[in-house]
Amino acid sequence: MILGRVRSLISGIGSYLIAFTQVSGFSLVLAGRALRWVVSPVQMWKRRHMIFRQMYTAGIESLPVTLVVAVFIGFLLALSAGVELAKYGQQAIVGQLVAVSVVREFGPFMTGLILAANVGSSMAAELGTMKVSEEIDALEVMSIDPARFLVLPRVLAMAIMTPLLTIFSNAVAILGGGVIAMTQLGVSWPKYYQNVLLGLSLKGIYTGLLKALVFGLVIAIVSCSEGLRTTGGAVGVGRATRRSVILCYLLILVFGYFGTAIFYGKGGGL
Amino acid sequence: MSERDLGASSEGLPKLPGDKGPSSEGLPKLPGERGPSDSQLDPLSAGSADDVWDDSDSAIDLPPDEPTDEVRALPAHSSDEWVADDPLISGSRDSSDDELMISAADIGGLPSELGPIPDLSDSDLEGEEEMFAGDSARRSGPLVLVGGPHDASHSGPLPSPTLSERMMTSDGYTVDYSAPPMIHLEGVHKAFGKREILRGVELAIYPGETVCLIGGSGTGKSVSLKHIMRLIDPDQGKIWLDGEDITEAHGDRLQNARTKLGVNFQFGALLNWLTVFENVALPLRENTDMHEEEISQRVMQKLELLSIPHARDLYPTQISGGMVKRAGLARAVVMEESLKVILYDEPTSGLDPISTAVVDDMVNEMKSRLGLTQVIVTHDMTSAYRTADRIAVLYEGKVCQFGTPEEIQNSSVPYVQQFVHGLSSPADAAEKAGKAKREESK
Repeated sequence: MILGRVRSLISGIGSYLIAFTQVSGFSLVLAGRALRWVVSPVQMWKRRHMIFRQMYTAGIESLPVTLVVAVFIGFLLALSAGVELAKYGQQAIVGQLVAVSVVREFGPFMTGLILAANVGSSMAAELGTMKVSEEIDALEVMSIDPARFLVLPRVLAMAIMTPLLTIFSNAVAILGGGVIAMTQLGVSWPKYYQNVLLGLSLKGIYTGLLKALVFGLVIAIVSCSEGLRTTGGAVGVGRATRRSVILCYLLILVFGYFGTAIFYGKGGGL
Repeated sequence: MSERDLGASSEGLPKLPGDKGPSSEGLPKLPGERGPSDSQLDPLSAGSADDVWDDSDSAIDLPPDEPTDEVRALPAHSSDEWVADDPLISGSRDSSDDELMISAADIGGLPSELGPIPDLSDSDLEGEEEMFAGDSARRSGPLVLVGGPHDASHSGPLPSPTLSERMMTSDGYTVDYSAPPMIHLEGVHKAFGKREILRGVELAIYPGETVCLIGGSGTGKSVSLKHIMRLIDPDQGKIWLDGEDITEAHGDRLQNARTKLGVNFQFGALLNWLTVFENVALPLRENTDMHEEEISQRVMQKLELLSIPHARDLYPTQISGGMVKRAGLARAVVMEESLKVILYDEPTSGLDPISTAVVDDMVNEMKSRLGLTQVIVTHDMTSAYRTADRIAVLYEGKVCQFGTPEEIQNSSVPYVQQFVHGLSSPADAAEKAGKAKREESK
């Protein structure tokens, strides 16, 4: 009885590890197959329309929701931190706190989550639908590499647009924080602005943008990979979409933590 | 006239040294004299795509039960070699009765025994009934019954003219049974998990031949087709395409092999965000260095060939199912430099009878005008009769019969009878098969 349970537990863990390795391997190989074309100007030129189209989808179409979320993140941060700081009469430094948190962590994090839900899910669903309707097979039979034709534009678009969107959302979140600082904490705009500048550092900015870049790559690769591995018709497409969002969220958290640990961990980081 | 002389055609063909050929199991009998007549095959003399096949007055069908003496004298082989325990398929025909059936291997081995076949002029066959309605696409034409199936491993890729050059040929196309098979599945097995789909599929399809794969759902038709495309790796067995073993092909080698294939998917598989023109142009833009002007010219040529030039700027969602299938076919044949084979996955499924006939004509036209080898997966027997030179019936993951449409229709295999006549009762099928067998022995 117990032996049977142990055996089934080990078997379950083994199956899980095999599946994990397969998925990771597939995603990494897919990324490699797509990104090797980045160095080919001919391919990049051929794919320019598709890259722009994907940039539009990932960037422009996601901008409104990202900005709305960003402004509320700014409100929340400024209010919750400001109320506590006010107890010590330190509400003036709320600008510094908002700037540091948003630029280093919250900006790329919330942009990544929004793009995973908004763009990543649609990528997985689109490619999944193409897979089940044999369009991917058709590309392969036409000797057109789906990694080059479909994945490369999406990966590039996300790699470009996620940091750009992060810059916008950082700015809007800081502005949102300023509104709360002025209206509810009694901090003047020049004071808030001065503190924001104190909080901003080059390292903070580039680590934030680097994280955004990594999140963008992760979202595109995971979503495309899940889409291309879809089987089982409409149900399979739904499953692939859900799995891609969950995986993206998890990986954004994991990569976000390790990014912070690498740059700001024990001993000051890099 | 000499082209129609079987003896003359076969005499000059030596047996290849060391030609033991691929496994002969499941190898076909040669089909009866079928194929477009010269005049119909001449694209220069043909009018529009629609009126090419309208000349039913000149239809010639050599019934299989009226063979020439010369053919009768040949040793016979039955196509019904595969016998299973299953009562549905165990009614294998007695090959001793089967004098009409000539396997390619037989003829290849005995070229000198072949006497001349009488000239099959239209007048000789006047009054012969057409066996199937709408069969005008398949005419009696020059039949070259020479050689046997060669082991593809003994031959490299054959130099072949480009599609345009082939289109210029005025004497039409015939199935070249003397050549190595264009497609050869050799003992292909495939299982998905514990479910065994293919259990040793043997298929040899010759250059210029149109073969329909039929069989019930889940018998492995589409899986076989995907093996030819190498979208699926076989668990066991070999896949040959144009003399090349592609079983283990990967990367550039596989991509090169695939350039010989055009595939018409069941639902067209057109990319929805591209117009019909862009879809058809896609392989050219991606795989060639052609200028946009040349691409445009080529694409319009194909769209006109398939009578859909007006759909060029429409998106796949804006056109009918039949047009989607034609656009899919236009895309499949646009890479004409390397194209040798077209694979169709249920080209007529979900279409009304008129659209079905249009698609069938389109399939026949691909053969007559472009001389391509074609494999069609279908459930539609009417379409299969209209288009096929030979029909392979799949049952439980194997080819249970492979023969001409007439042979399939008059099969003594109960399952085949049940399938082709759409009989719900196996008993009825067995009765029909028994009747066919009795008539055959008479």
